[in-house]
Amino acid sequence: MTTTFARRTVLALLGAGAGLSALPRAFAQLRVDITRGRVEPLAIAVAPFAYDAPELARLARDIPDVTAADLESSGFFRRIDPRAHPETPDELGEVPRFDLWRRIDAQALVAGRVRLAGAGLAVEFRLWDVFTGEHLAGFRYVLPRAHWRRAAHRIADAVYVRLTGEGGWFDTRIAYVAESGPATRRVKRLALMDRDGANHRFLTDGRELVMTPRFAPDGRRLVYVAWRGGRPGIFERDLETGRERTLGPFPGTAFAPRYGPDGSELLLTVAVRGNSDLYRLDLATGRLTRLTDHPAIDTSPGYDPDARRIVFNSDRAGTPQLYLMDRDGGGVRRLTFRPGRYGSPVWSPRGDWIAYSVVRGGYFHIGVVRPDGADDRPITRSFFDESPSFAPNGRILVFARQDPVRDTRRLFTIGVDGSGLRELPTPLDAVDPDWSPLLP
Amino acid sequence: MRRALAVSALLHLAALALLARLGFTPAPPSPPLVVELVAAVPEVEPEAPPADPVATAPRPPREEAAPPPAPPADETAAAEPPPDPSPPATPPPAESPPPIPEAEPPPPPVSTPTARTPAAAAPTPEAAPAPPPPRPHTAPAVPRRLAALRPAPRPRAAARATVRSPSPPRPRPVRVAEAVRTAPDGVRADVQAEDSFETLLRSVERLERRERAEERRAGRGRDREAGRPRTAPLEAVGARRPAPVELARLQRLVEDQVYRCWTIPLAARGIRGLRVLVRFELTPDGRVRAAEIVDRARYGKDPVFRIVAESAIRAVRRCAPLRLPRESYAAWRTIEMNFDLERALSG
Repeated sequence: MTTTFARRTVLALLGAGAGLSALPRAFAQLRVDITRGRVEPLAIAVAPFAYDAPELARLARDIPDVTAADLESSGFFRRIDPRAHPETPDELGEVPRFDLWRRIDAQALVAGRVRLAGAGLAVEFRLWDVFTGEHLAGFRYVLPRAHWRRAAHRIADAVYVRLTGEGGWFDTRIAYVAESGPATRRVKRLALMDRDGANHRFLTDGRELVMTPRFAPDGRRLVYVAWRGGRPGIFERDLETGRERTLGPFPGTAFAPRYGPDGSELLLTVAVRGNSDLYRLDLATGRLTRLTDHPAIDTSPGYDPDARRIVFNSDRAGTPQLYLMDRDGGGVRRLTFRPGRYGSPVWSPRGDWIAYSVVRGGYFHIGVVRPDGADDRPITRSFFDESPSFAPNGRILVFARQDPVRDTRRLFTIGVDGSGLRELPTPLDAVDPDWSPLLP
Repeated sequence: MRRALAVSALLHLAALALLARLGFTPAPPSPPLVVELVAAVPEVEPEAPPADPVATAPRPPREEAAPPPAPPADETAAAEPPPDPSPPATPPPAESPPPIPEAEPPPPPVSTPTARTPAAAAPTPEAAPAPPPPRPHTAPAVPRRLAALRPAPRPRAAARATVRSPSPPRPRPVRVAEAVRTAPDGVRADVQAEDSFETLLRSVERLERRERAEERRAGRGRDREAGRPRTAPLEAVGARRPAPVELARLQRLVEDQVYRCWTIPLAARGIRGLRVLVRFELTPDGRVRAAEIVDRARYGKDPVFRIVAESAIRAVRRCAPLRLPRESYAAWRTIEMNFDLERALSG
């Protein structure tokens, strides 16, 4: 994608050069450093959509509303109240009157249209730069009507990508473990919801204990630990068919499963007679390969995006710290050296950070560290924070936080730089979140 | 105890059902979306025909009823899109799982897409007619400063051509109107642009010719290409180099105006040492005639750099016309602005 983009740009530049003489660079006399600016969200107008069938009237409002809510939730955008918009959806059908939109100081404008397409919907949008009049992006999505929110999220992703230069993250889901009931009788259910909390549903009924749901890289499968018949097992569920299969058998108690980047294998921990070591399971053949053999507790293994290195957690140096090793289990080296008890490491899909949780100085933190050990720093601090998981663009994390005063556990998102803490709505207590990849 | 647990679970379930109308539906499958590129100028008209299908499609399958069953067969669901007349052409770009990025690459092929893309073919003719209308309106400029922006549609068009070409032309947004003003291929835009601010340029040119005549030293007067008015050589300017004091004053004037209009792309936070140098050519009344990213290579391959560069250009356009002393136009006709993201964020 990068190369394509570059090629296109180069062509464009050549075209520009041919048609328009370059600016007289040699004579630029005045050079000005702009060292200030406005640190504020970008004012964007997301107009209600046009529609051509009366029954679409509601969707024509709801879709842009969901898109705008997504964008605002990133903290990078501020929607301009549609009541201030100078053009109606129908007037916007053609090229917008940018002069009018400039008057309300909209810097970007999203306009769109929804129509019936067979039994489903065709939703299209355009993103404009109001001050240059440039058409920045435009796509059409064809989908079943029941999935209209996905169209809204996809639009938000397209806008986000074009205006921030980062990857999208709105058309995604979050799996987690929902908890309810008194502490002595917690009911735990596997739950799945859209990133914004919509379309919430439970995947299990709460009769069994469940832990650590993890998405496959295609977003269509989930692997997790569940107690059945008094024993923990590892199960994989196809989210589309609802079919579940049991993985194993394992030489001991298996837990902490996580898919490799191509979805063909799992890394997991197997405890035999009290000692935990790391294994790799080939999902097609069922072959199990042992990766560590150490008397210490090794757990929470996870690959880097290239499946060449594995990060894990071990107390081999006394307290739990993070370690790296090669894919085959060789080359073990310690990654973190700060005080505290580290846990639940996870590698960013971009490869640039490893997030973890750490207990230090009486507080729980979510922290991040570079894969070479640099920049190790906490980005949260609270009574209890745990289980970080990256959004597919690697810029945002979801994690679980316990509030000792309200006695609740909720999911929060936060930027890798520690900015933009936000709570995700869940109907019950929530722990152990995992963020899906972008949906297909 | 196990029973108690089950009871508790049931109670919770019941409560939930009431509370959130949520059930344990086996995760409703999400069929892959069909994604198509949309040309910049909505061919609302051409699509009108598909509108008819609306009439034909009136079957009210939309009620959630239909979708539920759909869940199981995602693949099929995906196949469903065919109802849309254009799917065949679009599939290629659409299929791309990653939303936009992938979809974009295919742009080239897009040209073929059914009714929508034909736009590409008709660019010039149709385009012209559409855009013009807006401009005229703008003419009745509002007294406000911002309004002033509009009146000068011509210069902007030209400027846009230059600036724009780098970024937008890239994708397929070959749509009609845009095509013209965006100058995807540079050439057409060139012509157009020339037409548009011909008048303005002419006056500038006249002014420069006079200066040139006066200065006329080395034989550097050759105008570039035919479009000489646009590039009016600035040699003349060089002759009257402004005093450092004056330069400092101009710098302050420019920065004071521009920074207020620069919305720093928050997504670029945390990127160290990011600076974007943009060269602007201004008209005597302070509007942007052209803008050019100096580091084109990076602009082409670093998305975040590109975003910051675009925000920089947007800032200056948003502030235009810049209020600068007319008598020293020669000194600020071309300005290099160094947008220093790191300092801006740390300050």
